[in-house]
Amino acid sequence: MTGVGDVSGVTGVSGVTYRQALSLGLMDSMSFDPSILCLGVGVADGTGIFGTTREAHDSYPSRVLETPISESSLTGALLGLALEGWKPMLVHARMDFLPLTMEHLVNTLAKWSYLHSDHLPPIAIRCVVGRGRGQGPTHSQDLSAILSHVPGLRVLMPYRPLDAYYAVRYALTTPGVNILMDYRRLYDDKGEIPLRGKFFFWGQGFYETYWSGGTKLFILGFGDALRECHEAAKRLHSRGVQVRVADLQTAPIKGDHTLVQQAKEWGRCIAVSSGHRSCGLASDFASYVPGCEIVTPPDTPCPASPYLEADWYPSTADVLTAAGRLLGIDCALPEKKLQVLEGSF
Amino acid sequence: MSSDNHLTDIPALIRAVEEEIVARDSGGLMRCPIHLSTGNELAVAGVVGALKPGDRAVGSHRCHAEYLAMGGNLQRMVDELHGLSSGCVGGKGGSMHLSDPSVGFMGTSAIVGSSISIALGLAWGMVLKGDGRAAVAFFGDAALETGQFWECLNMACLWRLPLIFVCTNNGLATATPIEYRQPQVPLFRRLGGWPILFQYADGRDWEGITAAGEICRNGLPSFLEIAVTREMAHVGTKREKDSVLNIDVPGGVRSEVSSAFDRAESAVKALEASMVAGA
Repeated sequence: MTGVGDVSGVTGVSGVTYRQALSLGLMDSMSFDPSILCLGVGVADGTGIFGTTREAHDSYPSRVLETPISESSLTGALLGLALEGWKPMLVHARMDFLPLTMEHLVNTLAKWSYLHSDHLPPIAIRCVVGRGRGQGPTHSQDLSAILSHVPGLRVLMPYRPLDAYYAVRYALTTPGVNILMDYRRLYDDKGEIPLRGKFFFWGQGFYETYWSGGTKLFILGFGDALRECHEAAKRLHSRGVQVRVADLQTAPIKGDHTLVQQAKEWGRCIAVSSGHRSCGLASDFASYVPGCEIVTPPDTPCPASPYLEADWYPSTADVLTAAGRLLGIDCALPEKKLQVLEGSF
Repeated sequence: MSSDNHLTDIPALIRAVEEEIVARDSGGLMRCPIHLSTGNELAVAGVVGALKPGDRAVGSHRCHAEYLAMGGNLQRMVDELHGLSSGCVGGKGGSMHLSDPSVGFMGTSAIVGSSISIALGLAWGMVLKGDGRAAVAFFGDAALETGQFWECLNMACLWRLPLIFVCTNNGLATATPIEYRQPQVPLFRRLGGWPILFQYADGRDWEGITAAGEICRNGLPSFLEIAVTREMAHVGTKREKDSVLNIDVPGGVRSEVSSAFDRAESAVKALEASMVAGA
């Protein structure tokens, strides 16, 4: 479902990491549009948000601007900048800093277009989900559900490097408030970005099907949880199950979305998220699909200890257990592995 | 924006509009919470009179005076209060969300302190364009109790933004007097040490307000405190002295504070005198 249309002839790239894709997305966006700004704490420092804003700062130093740690006021300032014709992207090195900005997200940005019957220029807020390597309860959170609850905010949840690239492009070209989550633990995943033209198509959802003649199972994942969805799908496929792994790519979830309809038609469905279960995205999706299994972390904060953390997040084993319940089969449960990530946080 | 007629007429217009709203309130057709600007007329009109073409402002929840002084359309304001689609934001905002971008009044925030951040973004955007315009943030004394004020003060000073902080100090947050909310140190002493121009004016002193406004419209961060009197209740069309919030409860926030109404009376007289003088 994801397609791209290349017009200007910028060549595609392969072997691109998720991290590089975020950087490329910003670079291409800034080269196409001189009104795009990138702001935040660390965007112009030595590492540039784990290497995702460094290239843009080198190429466009006057438009990649370091800021004080004043998340709340900067979020309100995004509106002022947009009203002056700029297309700003504010970057948070952790999504956990976003609650500081809820006043302007909920009361200012989410309401402005509604009140003024006008389309806001694109306003982008990028936040890194720090999951992994003991980041603990306040440096690892996936808060997509809180944001999705508020009409006027759009949440982007890219899983593949291709998605990361287009999510940046989308966030900086689509009118409205776009909150782009990117996932620190996916940063070294590699993939291909076939086309990098000025015009593109992204955000309508995507699925991959592991075809077979066997029983059908539909798995919907959000953001980084898609990794476990695909791992589980491969194991199930090897046992003859036909699995479709779907990604809505954006939230809030619309009940009439094609993928919601598909999930209903397929009958057996699992929704997997790295956010909490209560009032979460997986639960929201399941509310549209009768009998849908929900796989999420427990409704507790995330522990720092890597041993506790590995148990806390939904694992491939958890997805397989849910699949086993739906399919009435015994699923082999692979041992949980500690997530060891390379590079610094 | 600099003719004496304009400057004298706008406060009178604001006052007449607000009094007419009070007079017609009994009809029950204005069902949004009305936050009247009575008492802010000279302060707001004086500052706006010092602005230059292209300057922009963001207002607070008490925005009638700000909207009208900036040149917002009166009919569309009245329609907005009545919840009509012909209102300035289509009837979706009410009294606290007046807006007319065509005259530079970009909108408001009904959350104390948040107008400052939005105006900071305007001023920042103007500097990035380098076109010499300035932005105004209207807010009340309670905004100094919010983090956003100090965050924005820091950024405005850091980047030397053309942002005019306009604090209409009426000494009241809903019903809570400033004595209960802030240390009794004059604002300018609290701003000492910040690289920002500070001006003070009495809300009844037209000459003083306009002079301070001219000084503050200099392309750099500046802070203008204007002492005003909230003649009307926090919300609604009753006089402050008749407000249900203005009841002295033993040990409550009002019992030890001098009557706001006494100050209101003198402000009314001063305003009326200035209107006569300008006629």
